[in-house]
Formats: sequence, structure tokens, C-alpha cells
Amino acid sequence: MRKKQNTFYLALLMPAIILFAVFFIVPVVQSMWLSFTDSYGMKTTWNFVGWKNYIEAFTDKTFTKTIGATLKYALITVAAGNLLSLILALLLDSRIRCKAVLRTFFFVPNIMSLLVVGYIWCFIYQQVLPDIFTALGAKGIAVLGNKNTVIPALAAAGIWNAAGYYMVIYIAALQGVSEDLIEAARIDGANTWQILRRIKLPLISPTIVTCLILSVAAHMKVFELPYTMTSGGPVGASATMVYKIYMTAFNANRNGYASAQSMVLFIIIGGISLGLNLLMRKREEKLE
Amino acid sequence: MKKRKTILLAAIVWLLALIFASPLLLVLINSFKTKGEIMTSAISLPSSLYLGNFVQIMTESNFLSSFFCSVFVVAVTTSLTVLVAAVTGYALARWNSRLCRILILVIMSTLFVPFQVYMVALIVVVRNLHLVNNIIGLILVYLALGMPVPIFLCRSYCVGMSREIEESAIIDGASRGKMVFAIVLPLMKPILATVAVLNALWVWGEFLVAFLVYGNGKPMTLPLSQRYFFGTYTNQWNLILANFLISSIPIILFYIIMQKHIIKGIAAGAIKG
Repeated sequence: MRKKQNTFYLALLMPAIILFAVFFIVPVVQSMWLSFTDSYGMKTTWNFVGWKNYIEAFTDKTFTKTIGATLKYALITVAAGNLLSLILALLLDSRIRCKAVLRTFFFVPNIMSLLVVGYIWCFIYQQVLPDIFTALGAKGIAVLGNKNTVIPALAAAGIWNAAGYYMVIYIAALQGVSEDLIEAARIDGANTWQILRRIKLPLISPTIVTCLILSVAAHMKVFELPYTMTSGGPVGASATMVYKIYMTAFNANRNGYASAQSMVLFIIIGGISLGLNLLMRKREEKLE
Repeated sequence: MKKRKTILLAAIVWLLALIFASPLLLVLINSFKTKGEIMTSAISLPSSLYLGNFVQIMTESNFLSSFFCSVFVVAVTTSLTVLVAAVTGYALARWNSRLCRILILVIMSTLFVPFQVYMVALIVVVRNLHLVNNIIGLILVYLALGMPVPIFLCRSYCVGMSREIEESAIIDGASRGKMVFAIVLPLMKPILATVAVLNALWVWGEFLVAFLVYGNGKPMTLPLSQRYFFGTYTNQWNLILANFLISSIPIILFYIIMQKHIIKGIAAGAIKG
């Protein structure tokens, strides 16, 4: 009886176990292992090269530059994006009318394919912005062609796409804040700003950290935006890490080196997420 | 005083909403212009309701075949994801074994290791299975990549479900398989609907996985065809934007109909995932 039951559960788990084994465990292990080889394109033989790929990654300026570009992009999108999402959530959590309509306005960019988002913003920067500058009688600049403005320009598209998603999470958290608590504070004479600063924000701080972790991971892997808008240019200023990994693996066919670059990306994402987690733990201890 | 504050707040929100909507409004107005009109000004309203762009897309491009290809991929992937997530989530909730603990650990780790980190090796695996440019390969990869959060959502839903109904079904003589498919899965309907809607949304717009696994496959999925279209009609923004417009309408309608599930699912996924 017991054994029969176990066989039954095992049968239910089988599809998931096979899929995870083939499409997750095998490639993850292989990816670590490939990073120590000179695997090239479709070639079926390769040699172990030790840490050579990693040494190359840290001395190759075209790669180290992408770390900086990605971090800059992630810093802008995570900081400005979360701030915007939080503001939108606070506004929509107030006594405003037509909430569902407004929420749709902010959320629809998120359901668009990132590829399409990239092309639409490409159109905005190439065709619309110059027209706006002309209408204002100002001299326009090619935003995507300037190495100082290209990352903020990509970040604007990224924020436009992602803001609604985190807004939805923040709204859910704000709705969880007890109405009684706010009412009590108001009776005690607290103003809106004090309620926000002393009650709402501290109570939703776990959600803020969750959103920060989620958005760091999401924005660090940006690929579609540089792919559609700039092809990594001008002179590599907007090449992000995943874009570079893609180019190394599928344009230069260097699977081994690309795997080493992937590991660097993984360590950076993991490190930042872990750091944010520890920060939250510390804060919680302080609150207790 | 209070009333004035509310009006000010409303004004700010609607202004932000307008800013958020403006890229899509630009797509809308420019879809009805000729190429020359866009060149003259991309911000003016169209002089007349020119429909030539849409006619050209329908007659010249493979829009319809990619549209139906995407519908097919979404339908199959989402059905399979729902099925696998439901039975896996159920088994993980009911069976207390070492295997389950290991599997949960594996699923947790997928949440921390993004696909982009192992995409190079994943393509090598797909190549070795001879599934490159094969629509079944694409669906299997989507299934595997999309499972983790649905499994977690289903598992925690099952943990909250009472076992009594299941036990009485077994006492009444139902086989275990029948009990799961005829009784447990229907009970999980609310969470399965959420899982299905979120999965469909993701698969519909996904580009990078499709590009790597199914880049030269035929017929193309919608995002792949949009890339191809952009490459073919370089700088013919009238056609490109009209294409975006007609391919965005179904997904926007889908959102409007399903928004309750989407909103609920995102909040649940963020808390449990």
C-alpha cells in the first residue's frame, strides 16, 4: 500500500524531474565545466585550459567594459524604477477614482514584448525626439549615438517596461497595511508625510527589498534593449553583459569563453542579491 | 483643502498616465501615416486615415502565419505547464520524502540562476538533442524554464487544501490517478487559472529563448517575425509600427479580460517566489 503510494507520487514527479535534469541541471553543470575549456562552435572536441578564460575575461577590455555598462544600467533602472513604481503605487492606493483604468495605463508597457519595447523606443529616439527638439526650436542630439546618454536612454525604455510590474507588487503590499493603524495615527495628529515615513514604508520594507532583489536580477540580464536599439554601440558603450555573452557564444562561437563570462555575470547577480538579503536581515534585527 | 489636495493628486496621476501612454499613442498615430508623413513629422496627427500599411502587412508579410504559430506555442506550452505544475505541486505537497526535499531545493535554485547564465550550455544540450529550430524543442525549453514559480504556487495551494476529500474518494474506490485528475485538479482551478494566464503572457512576448532555440525555425513566432520584419523594412517605420499595433491588440485585450488573474498572480509570485 505504502509502496504503491510512493510509486504513484514518483510518477507524478517524473516529468518535472526529467525536465529539470535535462534543461537545468545538465546545462548548469556543463556551463561551469565549459568555462574551463576552449570549446568552439559546433566542434565536438575541446581541451581543458584551466583559468585561462577567466584571466582573459578580466583582462579583456571589451568585456570588463560591459560589466560597468550593465551596472550603470541596473543602478539607474533599479533605483529610479523602484522609486517610480513606489510613487505610482502610493498614488493608486489613495482615494483616487478610475483606479483600474490608471493601473492599465501603467501596466500595459509590461505586457509588451521587450523586443517591441526596444524598437518603439528606437523610433522615439530616432524620429520623435528630433521632431520635438525642432518644434521647441532647440538643437537636438543623437541620444543613442552618444556614449554618455546611451545608457540612460536604454534605462528609460527599461523603466517604462518594468515600472508597472513592481507597482502591482507595491500596491498589494500597501493594501496589506492595516487601515486601523493609519486611522489611529491620524487621530493622534500625524500628517500624510509622517504616516508614509513612519508607518507605511517601514511596514512594506520587506516588499521593497524583494522588489530590489527581483529588479536587480531582471535588469542585470537585459539583452533585448541593446540588441534592438544600439547593437551595443556607440563603440561598445551600451553592450551589456548578456549581449556580450551572446556575441561571444553565437557570433564568435567561443562557447568556453562565453561560459566563463556567464559565470562572472552569475557571481555579480548572486553577490548583489545576497548583499541586499543581508541588509534586510540586519534591519529586521534592529527593528526587533 | 482636502478636496484641492485630491484634485492635485488626480492631476499628477493622470499626467503620469499620459506620459506612460505616449509611446503607444505615437505607435497608434504613426501607423496611419505614409512613410513621407512620418519623415516630415513623427509627432503630428495623421492627415487622413491611411490604411495602406495594414493592407501591405496582411498581404506581403507572414504576419498571420506567425500570429497562429504564437497562438499554437502558447496554447501547448501553457497547457503542459499547467498540467506539470499541478501534478508536481500536488505531489510535493502530499509526499514527505527525501526526493521531494531535493526537488524543492533544485526548484529554489532555478529561481536564483537566471537562464542567461547557462544559455550557452543550454543551446549545446538542445543541439545534442537535435531540437534546434524545432518547435517541439522550443516548447520543451519554455516548459522547463517556466515551471518553477507555477510549481511553487501549486504546491502552497495544495498545502492549504484539506486531504479529507481525497481520502474519501480513495475509500469510495477511486484509483489514485482518477482521484488526482477528477477531484484534485478541478479543486485547484483558481491557482491554475492564475498560472496559465501569467505563463501565456510570458510565452507570447518572449524573444531571447525563441531566438536561440528556434531562430531559423518556420513558421516564426510573433517576436521572431517582428525582428525579421524590422530587418526587412529598415526605416519604413510606418509599416513597422503598424505591425506592432496589430500584434499588440490581442495581448492588450487579453490583459483587460484577465487583469484580475494577472494582478493577483504577480503579487503571489513575488511573495512566494
